[in-house]
Amino acid sequence: MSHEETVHVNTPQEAAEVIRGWQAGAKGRIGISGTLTFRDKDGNVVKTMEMNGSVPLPQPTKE
Amino acid sequence: MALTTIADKFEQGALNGACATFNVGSTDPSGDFRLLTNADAELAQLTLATTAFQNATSAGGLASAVSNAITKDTSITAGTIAKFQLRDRDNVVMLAGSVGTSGADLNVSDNVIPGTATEVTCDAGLTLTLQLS
Repeated sequence: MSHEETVHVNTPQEAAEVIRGWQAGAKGRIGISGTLTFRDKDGNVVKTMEMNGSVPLPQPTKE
Repeated sequence: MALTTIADKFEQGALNGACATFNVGSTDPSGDFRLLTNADAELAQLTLATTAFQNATSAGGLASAVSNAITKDTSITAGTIAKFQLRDRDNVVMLAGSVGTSGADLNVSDNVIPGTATEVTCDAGLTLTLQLS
């Protein structure tokens, strides 16, 4: 027997939890990118490191 | 089966919700972005802003959020970066993955912090994106 459940969302964290519960029908990836700059003690740039990648959204386990 | 309709606004809201998780907690004033060795030794820790990310935008099925100003780390350790973490204010890991020059979760041009380096900055900030299907 199915039932309806009212979900009250008051904070972004609660919204994220609700959205996480909706992911049974959605897949996706969180991408992350940026550039790191490394400097020595004199302030000279010794390396720049470009970053680019992604991690998959966690899939909920089915009961 | 993939969802047939995912509005840009939905992805935008989802990414905003995700970014807000970095602002949770009271142990530290803000979250952080860490670079670690394969043995989980910390090489660098950059501090996120109190509100870590700006409001997300979304267009063409891709939501994007840029971080607010990230504080540099002036006491880094040389070594090979193998992992990254993004943590909230209570140092709870929200996002983590492998780091490498290819085939990793986060690919970098060169994952070695040289011995001459004493500090690291992320001047243009970090960008998070979300694409749902």
